[in-house]
Amino acid sequence: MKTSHLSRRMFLQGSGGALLAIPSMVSLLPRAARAQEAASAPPVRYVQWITNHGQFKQHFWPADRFAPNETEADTGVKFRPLSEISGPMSTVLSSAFDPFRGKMNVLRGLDLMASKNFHNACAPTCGSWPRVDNHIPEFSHSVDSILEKSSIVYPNTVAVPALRLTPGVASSFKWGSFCWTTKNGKPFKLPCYDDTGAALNAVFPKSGRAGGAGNGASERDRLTDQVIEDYRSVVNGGAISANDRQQLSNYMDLLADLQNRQSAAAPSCDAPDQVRENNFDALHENATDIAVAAMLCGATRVVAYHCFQGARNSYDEPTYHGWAHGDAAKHGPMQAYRYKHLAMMLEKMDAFTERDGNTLLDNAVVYSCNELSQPGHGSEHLEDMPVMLAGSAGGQLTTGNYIDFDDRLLNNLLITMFHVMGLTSPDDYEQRNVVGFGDYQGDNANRYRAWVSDAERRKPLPFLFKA
Amino acid sequence: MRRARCWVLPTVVMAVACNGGLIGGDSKGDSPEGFPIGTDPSNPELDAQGRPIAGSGSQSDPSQGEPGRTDSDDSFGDARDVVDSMPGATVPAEAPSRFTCEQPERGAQAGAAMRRMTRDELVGSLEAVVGATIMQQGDVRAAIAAIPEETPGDIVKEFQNGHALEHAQGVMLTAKAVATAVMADDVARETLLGACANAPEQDCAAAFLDTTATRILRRPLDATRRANMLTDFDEDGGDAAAMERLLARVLQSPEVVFHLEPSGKTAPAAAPPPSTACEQPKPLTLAWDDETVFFKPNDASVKGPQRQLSESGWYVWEIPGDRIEAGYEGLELTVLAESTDDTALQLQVNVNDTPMMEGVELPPGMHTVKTEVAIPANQDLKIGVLAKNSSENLTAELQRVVLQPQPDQCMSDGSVAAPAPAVPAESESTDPDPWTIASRVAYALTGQGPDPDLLAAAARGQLASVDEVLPHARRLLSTPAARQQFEAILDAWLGLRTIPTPNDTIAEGAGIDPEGLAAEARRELLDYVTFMVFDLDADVSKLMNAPLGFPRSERMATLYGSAVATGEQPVELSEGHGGLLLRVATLLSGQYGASPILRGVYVRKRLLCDELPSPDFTIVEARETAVEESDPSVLTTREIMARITSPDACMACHTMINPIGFALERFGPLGEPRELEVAYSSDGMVVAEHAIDTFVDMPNLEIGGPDQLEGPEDLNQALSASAKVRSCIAERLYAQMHLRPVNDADMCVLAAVEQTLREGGTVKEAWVQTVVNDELFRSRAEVSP
Repeated sequence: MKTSHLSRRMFLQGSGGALLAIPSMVSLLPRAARAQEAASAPPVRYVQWITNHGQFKQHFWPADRFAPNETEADTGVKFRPLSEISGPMSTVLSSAFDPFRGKMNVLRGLDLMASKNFHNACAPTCGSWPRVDNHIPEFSHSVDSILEKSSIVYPNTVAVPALRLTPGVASSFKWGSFCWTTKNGKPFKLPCYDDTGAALNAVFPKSGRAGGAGNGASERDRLTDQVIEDYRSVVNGGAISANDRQQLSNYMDLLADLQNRQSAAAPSCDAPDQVRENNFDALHENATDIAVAAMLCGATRVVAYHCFQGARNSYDEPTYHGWAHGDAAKHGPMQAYRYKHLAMMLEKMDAFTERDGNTLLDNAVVYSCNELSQPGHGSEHLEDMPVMLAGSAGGQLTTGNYIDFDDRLLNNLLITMFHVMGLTSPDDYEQRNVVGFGDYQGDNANRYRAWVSDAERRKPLPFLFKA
Repeated sequence: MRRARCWVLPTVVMAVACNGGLIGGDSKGDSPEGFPIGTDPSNPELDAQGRPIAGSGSQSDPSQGEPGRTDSDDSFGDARDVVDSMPGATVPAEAPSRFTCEQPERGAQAGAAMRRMTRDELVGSLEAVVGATIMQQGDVRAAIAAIPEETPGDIVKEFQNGHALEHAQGVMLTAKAVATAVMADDVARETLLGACANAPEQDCAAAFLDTTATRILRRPLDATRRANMLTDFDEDGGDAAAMERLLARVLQSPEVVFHLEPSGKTAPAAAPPPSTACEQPKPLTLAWDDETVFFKPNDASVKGPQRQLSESGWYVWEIPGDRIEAGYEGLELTVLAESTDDTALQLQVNVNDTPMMEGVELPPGMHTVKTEVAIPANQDLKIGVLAKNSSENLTAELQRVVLQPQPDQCMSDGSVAAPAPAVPAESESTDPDPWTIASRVAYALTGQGPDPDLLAAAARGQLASVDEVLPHARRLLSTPAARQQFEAILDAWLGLRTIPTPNDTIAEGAGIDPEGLAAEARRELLDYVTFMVFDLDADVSKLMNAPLGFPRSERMATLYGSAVATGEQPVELSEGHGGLLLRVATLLSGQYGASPILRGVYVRKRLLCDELPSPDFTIVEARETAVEESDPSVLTTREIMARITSPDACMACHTMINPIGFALERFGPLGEPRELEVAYSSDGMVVAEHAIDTFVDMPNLEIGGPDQLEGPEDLNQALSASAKVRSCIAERLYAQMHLRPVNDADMCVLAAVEQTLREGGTVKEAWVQTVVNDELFRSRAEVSP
């Protein structure tokens, strides 16, 4: 294996047709790190890759003649090997995905139990819909926000428990992030890095972990301690309201968390080089490199990635919204552009072989979906959600199929994500006394009666999940 | 057809020929080149936002157009003439007010948690203290980028009052980067750290906490924290690294991260008014525009105060002896030097014709230069200032002069007059203290922390009433920061950061480059509104209808059918554009055609603040099918839209929406005027041209509104007289201050502001009124023990 001629830039870039020349990442890790990590199997990584403005069916699903036609006897799930589909799978799942057909699944027949046709900010990752048209989910917990706090996912402190990215787009804007949690009893949308420089520095700090003035961990910790002490002094000062005291206490918790993260082990590789960001291709190339490197080098096991641009030089929310409501011809190429970057991510993940002989992609589950299915958000706007999975989560998922679950709840897919990440007990992922995960309310409830018992809610999807 | 041919012509000359009237220029025949009088006819260089770059003469002097300025002094007299010639518009008597004050005893902010600083507030506040040079450094900018950005949409609706880990991390990185940058910059270090700049030790660290830190924190430190910081400073070595750490610590204090408002219960005691405590004179502050003194400006053509310094001669204050009530021993001059190439300013100051400072070099930034000089009581005083510029890229502005009392008197340190060290004083009052008042006013009107004058007033306890605060509020309105803050209101209210990019086919057909047009259109609208509000003191009637604009490029001028605006003067828009609505920014579409429905919704929701329920998207989807089945080669857009919204289920709302959109059909998808609608197929082919019908019956704008509209001019006229528009403006001015939608507890302030606007008050005064009112002096939340 000729690794000496390859710059770090080259191997992180990866490229079609050059896979043989790309070394496994382990060969580039420091020897001590390799010795340490060899003792355990590579962890499973989770990627949620989400975009917005819905998905016209004709652009996403393979042609009707390729509909799943085999039925697994035990589960009744219909499927068809993706290898049987001739030509590109669809406009969106273009030929760029062909190299991964054996490592991916296209899922259909997964729904949310929704009755309202509102815009959604967290349907794919929270399994929930808003009660008013304000983009705020009723069940405000996304998969990434659960995983990042799990001691199962992270037995040890890491620098970035969840790397959230909205390259080039402020995540605070309506759809800007599909990452939610609940703070002080209220929905809270989690911010993402829109700036790749900031993301890179979060994963690969230029001068150690985020900290204070001076050099060395102890000095950085001291500044954080001093700042926390200032907050404590105000909190204990008695001149503020209970609400304000809570705000300050919350911030102190964040500072303490930052303090804790400073003790995390440094990434086991150097930061990837970055190209000049003179268009959205370059922007996503950089962001994808950061995400892949962060997973590969131990900085995170959870990535939330969003792609909202519609062409190499175009990002125009109002126009895209207009297309969603009436111009499928333009909507298709827009989504195809976005998914091109997903294919690039898969390619990069599949270019690195880990110590167990699997690629990073093999040891991950990449879950892609959309805010909606029907772009016009008609009556079926949260039915048949456009799901594509890649990676087998270290062999826990079947791959290579076009699967039709025929009116099951998307919530069970999210349960599947928890299971492959090791969160198999309901106590590991359930929130707010909701059995299962997400919304189980809606006018269409009768349609899903078979799937809403406590036991069914907690089951990963059959056929897909290999117990 | 004449208009349609006119607007697509690409050159300025042709645009002028098409009746692009130039204010003060071509129409009077005294500017054959067709440019506003006194402006450079060359097209200015534009930045990415379509705004002329610094130095190209486009930046408005915030001193212009202030209240009290006479017509003869008015640089914008021509524009004012245009506006004054407009027909007046008054609110119909029968139009009801939206807000009523029924519970005046209820505090609007009662029970609310303190708000976190937005990224812009935090960065703006730091920049006001440490200077733009520091904040523009690469490492600092990179650190700021780690703080999550606020929404480009409607921040009033989308703001989350909480922090995520990324916020804390970004603030920490920023504080560290700023501290490092300050320590590495000789000028910044000296300015901010004083004696600690070169040889840190505890005394100067204490002085830093009592001066610069007070500015950063917007109030004096309480004694405990101050003592802790000094102890830590010593334990950290008491050296430059310890000073850097102390600065980084202060820069991420609770006061920097939150709008912290400790109650008076245990808040630091404000400095007692000197006249009471010490029986000594206060510092005498003369603002640059203090008209109680006599001025001899540099520019002989200018009468009265002039902020700008230049090389053309001495700028002189002549202060009558009756204002010098007591002797002074110190003189401070505050100067803002701005340069695009880091050129320093040479300053000379004479007092009574005697040189006191010579060759004082001031790099870009805000500076307070001090000298000791004996100024006897009751004698006339003359202060002369000469600024020598060595670069065309440098400008200098006078901010103020302060005469300091005897050194053994109170407040002799020349700082922001913070008592040092601050000793917490027990008090049972829960009213906001003066520091809180100063912060509330400053953030609401400038998006930044209080300036030294405001903090000094807080220290003196002189912010205790509306009358005491109002002069400060009005002073702040003359700052660039106030204009930026007003622009932030407009961005959120009008959705200016989400303007679509024009459709390529449409743009190409018009000879318009679509790249960057949305940003340029946004800038044009902002220039128009800030000009009207700040320079012309416009009321709502004029704001909503003035046929003025600032097209800074040929493509914008082409769309407006006007000349290019090259300086501070607007150009007249004679093709039907004007006001807040009929502008490229608000009319632009990203599709083949403009959508009357989207335009109608925009006016309803944005300009009238009407609530429109979300449509049933199942019905919408079904009706979209009807759109696809409509033949644009046969039907106009109006006919298609009328047809698809004709079901009763649709018309409940669309009777409110469609007429407005139809009246705007005289403007195409680029915001250009048109007499024919060009219809396109779904693949972008021209399939027909249709005559346009803009007449509408029953637009249902509001009670007392018109029964019919002939077209967009009538709509603009109706909006200029609209009660709803006035209440909407009141709401948005107020809501932006708190970054939350208004609620019942806000009604009293809103009712007062709405009434001001209904009675013809200026938008600027209404803005001040949303901030400076009785509510300002009420506690936000009950203090818990």
